[in-house]
Amino acid sequence: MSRTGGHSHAQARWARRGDIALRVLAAVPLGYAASSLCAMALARLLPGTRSGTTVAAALIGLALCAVLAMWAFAARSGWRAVWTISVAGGVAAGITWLSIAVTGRA
Amino acid sequence: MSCATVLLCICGFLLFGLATEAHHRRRCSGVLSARRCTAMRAAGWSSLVAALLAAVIGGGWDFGPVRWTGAVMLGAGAAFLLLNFAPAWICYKRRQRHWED
Amino acid sequence: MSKGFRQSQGFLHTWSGLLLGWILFLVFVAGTIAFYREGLNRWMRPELARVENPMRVLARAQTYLAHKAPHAKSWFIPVATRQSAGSQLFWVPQPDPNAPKGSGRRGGRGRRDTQALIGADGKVATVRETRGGDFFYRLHFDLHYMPVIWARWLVGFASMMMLVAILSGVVTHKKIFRDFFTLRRSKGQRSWLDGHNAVAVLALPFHLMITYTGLVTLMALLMPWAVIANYTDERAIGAVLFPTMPVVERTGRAAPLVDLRRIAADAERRLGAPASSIQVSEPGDAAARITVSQSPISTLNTRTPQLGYDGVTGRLLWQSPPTGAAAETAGVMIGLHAGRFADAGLRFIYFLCGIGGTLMVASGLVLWTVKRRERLPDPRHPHLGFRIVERLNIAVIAGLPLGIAGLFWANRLLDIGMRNRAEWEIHWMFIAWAIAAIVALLVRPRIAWQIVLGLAGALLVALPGYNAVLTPRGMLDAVASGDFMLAGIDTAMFVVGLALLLIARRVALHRSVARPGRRAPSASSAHEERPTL
Repeated sequence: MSRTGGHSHAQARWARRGDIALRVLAAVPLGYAASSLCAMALARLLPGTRSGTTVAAALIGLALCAVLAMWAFAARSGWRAVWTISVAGGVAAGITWLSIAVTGRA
Repeated sequence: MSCATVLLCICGFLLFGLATEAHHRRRCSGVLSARRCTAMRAAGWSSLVAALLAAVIGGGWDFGPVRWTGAVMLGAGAAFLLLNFAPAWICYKRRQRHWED
Repeated sequence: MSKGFRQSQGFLHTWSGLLLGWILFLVFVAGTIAFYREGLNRWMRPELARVENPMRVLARAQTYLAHKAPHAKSWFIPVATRQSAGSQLFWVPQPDPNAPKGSGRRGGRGRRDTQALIGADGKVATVRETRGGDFFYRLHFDLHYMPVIWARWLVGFASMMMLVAILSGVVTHKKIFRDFFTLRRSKGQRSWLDGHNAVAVLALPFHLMITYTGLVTLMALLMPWAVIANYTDERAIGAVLFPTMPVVERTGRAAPLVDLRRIAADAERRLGAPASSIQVSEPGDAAARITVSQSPISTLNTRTPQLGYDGVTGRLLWQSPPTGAAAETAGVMIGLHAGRFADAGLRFIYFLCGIGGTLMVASGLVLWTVKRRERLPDPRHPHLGFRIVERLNIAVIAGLPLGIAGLFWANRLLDIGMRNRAEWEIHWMFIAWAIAAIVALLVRPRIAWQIVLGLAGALLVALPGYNAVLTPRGMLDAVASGDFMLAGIDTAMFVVGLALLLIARRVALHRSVARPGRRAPSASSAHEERPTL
């Protein structure tokens, strides 16, 4: 986790709390959103029957929630966790939107 | 539930456990050399594989692996309890020899 | 793996395990007990005899329904088995066109006047009203005293935290397989750590499976987005994943319903497996249809095949189509979670693993306080967080067993003719639990543990005695009649009660490591070898 050398003790404590707060933000609301968006993208992209890919994507989405939460705490800093997960979610959202715009839904 | 599967799993985990330093010292004679450790672990893995075969033969490929997984956990738990709670005199110590295995 | 990564996952493991750990404890306890829900359905209705002839129960169920609800919209008849209490059937009345919208029936479970239990003798069971073992099944995901949607979101969220705790726990444990058999006794924090590791790692396949598959059972609620991405109407995918026989409009022409035993026998022959439930739509009408579902005992997939018959002629009309690999996978996952396919031996392993999971959660929660107690600057005045966790641990880990013991005693002692008896049994569980929580709050922790655990243990140990003396299904009677399920439940209660008493005694005899005024007593043992966490 990030170290804040050269600050006073209290400042270091608040910096650490801020870092953890960012990671929690990355893990829970952002992580769930990104996992859901990835599930949507996978549902559109995976090969197979429509119902099959939907179920498979949901199963993967659930596992992804846990993995992203672990990533949020393994990342080198809280900010890094927030923006990497946000970007992942954004890319998935873009893919999903494009796919629905092109082929539509059942 | 196949008894053979469970028993083979218990044997396998007992072998794994006895291949660790502390338990080997407590219950076996001789030093835990690298060769003996490898041999015991290989025997342990063989036991687990045999248990899987027994489970699949008994229950088919759908129920077999499920029963095997159950037996593996049961075997691990039983071996853990036996190794940690069985009285100290239950051990395999050969009479004093002048050379090590 | 780098040290920073392992440390970060260790931190994550501690907090994702702790924050909702008490909810997870409840889920594990209730879920573990629910593996024996059918047995408890019988245990909590000691007046009932064992089902010997399931087909007779089915015939009498049909007669009963034809008499009681001849013009219902549909009947649901579970086929009784030797393990079940009987046939817990219910029916859906015709929708009333004059009733204002939204005033319709609340849900199948709640209404008392549209359900009945047909016992082994074929008669409506006039036994004590109770939710039986099914209560524990519902408790572990619907909780109680709250709308089920909230409960499922809470349990789902907690389960995700559990999954994160398991995965991060595996990652952070440096020598997970080398420490496999390690158990250092009487060494305070290290012993708790070894115990926590033992119950966690030895049944790790089960813990991973049950947590992830638990999330899968709530998939429609927690991850509906994949459906939204592919479908504009969620009913479309429902029709594919859960195919049902095409609905037929009621004709208004009366026609006698064919004998359901004939249908059940034909279905079992075609399926090559027992039937578990029979649904009749528009009974007594010319358009009656019967759907027979295969029993989950015969396959891992919880979504079993179904057969559809004409209700008047008994002709086979419809077979459920296969649903594809992904749906099969999800069905198998849910099947593994529920374990309905498990025979006696495998069910007992499920139960033992569930107890392992319960001990894993409990030991983790206690380990948190043990670890921090050794580091407290002033053990007589711990910080607020420590005090909260310490008290909650007693209130939940000791309090819930007391509550459950209270439930079982209420089941025995409450007046048979009491109104809302089933609900009152459950109220008594929460009353007993609340009393334990008050004790946990007001009394010194060490004494509180002993009181609550001791009381819970004593109540559980006494139950088989009560059964033997005051019910017709005591231990000796059960064994004599070959009813090993009831004997087993009595035994389990006694063993768990005894274990609680022994733990209470252990607490009483325990000499605490840190004495007030001494700082960091474990500094001297810091150089000892220890598994990381």
